[in-house]
Amino acid sequence: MAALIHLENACKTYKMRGGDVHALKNVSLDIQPGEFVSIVGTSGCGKSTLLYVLGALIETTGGQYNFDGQPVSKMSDINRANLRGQDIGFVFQSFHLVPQLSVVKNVLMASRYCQPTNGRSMSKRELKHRAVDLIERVGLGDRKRHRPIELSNGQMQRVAIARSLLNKPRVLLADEPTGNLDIKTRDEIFELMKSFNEDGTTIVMVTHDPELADRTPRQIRLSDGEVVS
Amino acid sequence: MKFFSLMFEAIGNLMLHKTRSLLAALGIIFGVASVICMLSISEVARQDVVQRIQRMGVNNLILETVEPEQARANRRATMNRGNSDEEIKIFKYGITRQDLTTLKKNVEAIGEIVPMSTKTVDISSSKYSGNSTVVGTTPAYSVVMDHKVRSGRFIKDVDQKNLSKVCVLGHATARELFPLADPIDKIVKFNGMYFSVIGVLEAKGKTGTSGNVLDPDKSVYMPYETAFSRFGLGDNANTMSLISANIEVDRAVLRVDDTEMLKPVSQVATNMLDRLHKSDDFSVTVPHALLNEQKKSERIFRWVMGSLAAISLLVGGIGIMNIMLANTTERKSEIGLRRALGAKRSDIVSLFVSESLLLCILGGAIGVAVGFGLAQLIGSLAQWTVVYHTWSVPLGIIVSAIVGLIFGTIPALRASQQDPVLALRSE
Repeated sequence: MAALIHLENACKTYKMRGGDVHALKNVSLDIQPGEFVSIVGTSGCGKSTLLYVLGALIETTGGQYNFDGQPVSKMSDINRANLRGQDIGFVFQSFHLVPQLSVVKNVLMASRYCQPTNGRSMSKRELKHRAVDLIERVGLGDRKRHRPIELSNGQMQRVAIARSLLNKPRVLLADEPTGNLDIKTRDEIFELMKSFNEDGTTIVMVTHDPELADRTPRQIRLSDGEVVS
Repeated sequence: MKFFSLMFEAIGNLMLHKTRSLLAALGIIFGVASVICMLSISEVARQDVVQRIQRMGVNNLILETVEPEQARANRRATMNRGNSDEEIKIFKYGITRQDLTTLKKNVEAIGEIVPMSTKTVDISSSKYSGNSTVVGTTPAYSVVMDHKVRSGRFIKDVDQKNLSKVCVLGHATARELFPLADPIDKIVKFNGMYFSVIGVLEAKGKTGTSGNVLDPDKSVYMPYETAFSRFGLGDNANTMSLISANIEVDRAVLRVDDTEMLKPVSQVATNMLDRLHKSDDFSVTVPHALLNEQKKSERIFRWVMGSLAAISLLVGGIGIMNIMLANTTERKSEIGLRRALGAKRSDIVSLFVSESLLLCILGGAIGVAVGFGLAQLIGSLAQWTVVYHTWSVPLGIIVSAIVGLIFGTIPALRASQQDPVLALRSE
């Protein structure tokens, strides 16, 4: 099977005043559709940089990155934005919910720039229906109209997961999704992600929680910008 | 469709920060309001000046008696010496009937000459009293000054000839002395003499320039010869005042049918009067020329107003830009999130420009309303009839929109250039 994500000798160098920082050094990896992969490593080893490279938010300074066979490295800014909106979902450590919007509206924000395509674009009603379905799926059916400030951290992360899945992305990229959560909530969120993975969504999760990483079928270990295992 | 959804989103975003949005729009609101208010008020002033000049008659030349410097000095000296029964000083100067006869005889282009001699008096009817300006004039006054008779009739030649004790009341004087009754054939009294009212004139409004304003509505018109003989105007001065100016004609209106001839006639009249008079005791005004001058002043005034408006809107625009810059900084992580959700740089630009555009359009609309309200308030306090330009509504809003576009684009471009990852980490 062709890899959904194919990274070959990818490098990322930041030009800094004090000298160049090599965040990624010749990273090569393949991620197949439907995989649940965790990226682990010490702080500053380049985990998040790798995740944002995979999410087409950061351009590599060398090497090649293909997403479903398309060369992301050669894509224009507009095409990269379309790729992000259409095929990639993001979950962040700090949730990034808009505090003034309700849970439903936060989830619907994902459809602002791109919409799920099933051969045709969805109507507003269909989108709202899907958003409500996802909110119910993450267990917040009774909190649809609440604002983020009225939710716990775990609930906020559930909303963020629902938002990331609204457009039916091919891959979900999670940057320390449980970093701000207690152990019980961490497990709940992990189980939720696992259930979406079982439904066919590819998940790449950055974590420095070894226990959580051990629960994923595959681990990519980074050290000083290089894949070590 | 995309435009409307963008606008709805902008409304939502602005509503999330109502106070900040209002503060951002204040500059535009007051900028537009002050311009609208100034435009309305200046239009009142402009129309007032133009109407006063027009009421003088654009086909007319106005000759006016001016107190010469020597007479003024003599009057001051007499006043300083104090009262004395024997000391009655009369200063004689100004335009005479003889001057007018000479002008009429020698300048063919002059169609009609209307002399006017004025005196302020206390006037009363059987029940009411007030003060008014008595104007001694000729029957041609009504035609030359285009001052129409509302009821009764104007002075006739026969009244002049017979020195008839008749008068025609100005609109305001008639209302003051006879608020409830028809003044025609009623008797009015001034300076101890009784006059029969033969007519009432229509309202006309003030005439003249700022230096020499006449109010025809607060005047009483009578035959020139009657006024001349009864009120001590001219050589037969009969006054109890210790200091008296002996003036035959305070003002004369010269009708010139061909407006092209106004300037040459005024030149000829000035030259002739210069030769006839020893001192500089008259002035010649050409209302038509004043109108042209007024138009020049208007052009300058418009430039001044335009500059003020531009400065106001520049200040307002800078205010908007500041708030929008603060806005983009505050919403940095939201920008990062939107980029992660698939927003292109152009989407981020559109997001912030639409907010600034909407803010300025709303600010402009509120500013127009506030400006009209302010002008109305000032108008009612100063008892002016405020003039509104209907075009100022779309103009105010369109200019505000342009300000919003220009000053909103800079922060929006800055926001769109932000690194999405750094923006996401900014929280």
